[in-house]
Amino acid sequence: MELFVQQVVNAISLGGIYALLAIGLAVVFSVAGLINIAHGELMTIGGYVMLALVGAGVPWPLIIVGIIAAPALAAVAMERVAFRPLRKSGPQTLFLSSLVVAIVLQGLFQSLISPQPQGIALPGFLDDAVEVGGVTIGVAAIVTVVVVAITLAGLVWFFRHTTVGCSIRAASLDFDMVRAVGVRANRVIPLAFALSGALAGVASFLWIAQRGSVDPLLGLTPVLAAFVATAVGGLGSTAGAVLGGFLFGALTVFFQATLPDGLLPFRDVFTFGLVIGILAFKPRGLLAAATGERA
Amino acid sequence: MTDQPLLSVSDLSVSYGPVQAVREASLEVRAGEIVALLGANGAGKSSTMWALVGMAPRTGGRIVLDGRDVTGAAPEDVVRAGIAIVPEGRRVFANLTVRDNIRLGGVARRAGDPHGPLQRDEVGDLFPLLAERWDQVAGGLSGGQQQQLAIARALAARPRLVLLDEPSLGLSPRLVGEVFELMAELRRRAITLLVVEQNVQRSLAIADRAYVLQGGRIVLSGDAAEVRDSEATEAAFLGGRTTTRTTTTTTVTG
Repeated sequence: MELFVQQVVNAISLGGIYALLAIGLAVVFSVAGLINIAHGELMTIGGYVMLALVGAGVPWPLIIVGIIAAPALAAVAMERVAFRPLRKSGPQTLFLSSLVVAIVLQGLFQSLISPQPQGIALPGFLDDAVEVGGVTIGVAAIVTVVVVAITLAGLVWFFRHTTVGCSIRAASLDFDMVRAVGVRANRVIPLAFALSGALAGVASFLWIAQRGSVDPLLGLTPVLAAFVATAVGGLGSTAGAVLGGFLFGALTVFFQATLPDGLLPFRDVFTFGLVIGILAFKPRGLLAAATGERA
Repeated sequence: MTDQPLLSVSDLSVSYGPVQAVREASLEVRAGEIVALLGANGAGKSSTMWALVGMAPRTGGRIVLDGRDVTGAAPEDVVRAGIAIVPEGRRVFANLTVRDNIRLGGVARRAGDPHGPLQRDEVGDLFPLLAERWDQVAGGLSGGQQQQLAIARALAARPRLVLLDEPSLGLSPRLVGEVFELMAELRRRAITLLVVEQNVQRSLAIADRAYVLQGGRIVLSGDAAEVRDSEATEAAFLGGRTTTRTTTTTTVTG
């Protein structure tokens, strides 16, 4: 029973991080038609900013602001430098451009900082565990679940009640029409990038809180999972991204917990096998909108 | 009111790569008019409409709205200047509620408009069903209701001129009648309309003036009655010989 509850908490905290990353990918895809390969590097930037600020002895509230703000600004800069000039060039060009951004950033992290993982001194309480109703649960996992819940609640509010949020949702179906009603593309696109960067920053903080170090390829694994999550949920759909993220997190934890030791190295084979199975039946994802064609 | 037309388009050309969709088309719309833009499929009607809001690749010509040159302006600036489009196929935001569709329609309200955002009771005045379904998702509305919503979304921009692209396409005969009644109602509310319609007879019955496009060129223009009686209109729709003839325009600004 205790193990089961712990695994559920693990699944929610891992899936929640995937979900935050997947939403960022979906939001950018909605307005820019771009699958941003460099999304993982936004997360890594958050990690290195955390490393620098912790090293400089900055108080934690400010560190958290920095972890969220720096990737958001980096995402806006990416849009400006690597995507806006190519906006009319079609999805393949944008895709390649984001691949180049990712490779260049990874190279910079390796040569300017270090190819090796850098340890980050986290507040001690993150390593603690508490007993909730007779079950021992790690504080870091609880923090993750709470932060994910607050962030998702904030996103629901943002997408429902703000004009920019509505624009982004509408753009996932028909961005040309969003432009035709007079929404400023040069405002909503950078805002979508900023949001995706901020979410990558939150994910970065939660990821590092459970691992304690940052390396040049920090973002690679979780963002790969987030790509799969958006495909499973339905590309461009934010609700689908959340569903896909939690589903992928749950599958990973489930196979991690149930596979016999001999098969454990092949965990991802099982996870991705199931994902392929889902996509075979629902090729456009679980929550692809009925009118999902982009005009 | 001055003699200056609300919309004045001169020598508009639109090209998609090597395909020239509109060739040096000139037209005028005066405040308070309903003007019909007619022609067979592929004659360049929709391309003209999209070029007016800055969303089709314009290769030449000039677009002036109420004395202000909006040639080459971005869509967001054209909408703010006072042109709103109701596109073919309605293209409501299916995943948003009626309220949020109208909210987005009002993002680019015309500068200097005194009325503020389009309110639910104002929408209900024209479209009672939309006000009733205010918080429902647009994708769940019927085709006729989606057409109403597409029009309400355009009105939310508080435009001077509304471009209606095939508003009756795909609707039942009864709903088609409602769409034409609505156009008359909008004119009573001092909203100027430029309408593209497949339903030639009905649009000529309601329009003040009409232009006929053929192969991207305007081959005929004039009073609705004159255009209706012209052989060139028939030729344009049957794809027959290209007769370029311009009847005199005698419409009084209403």
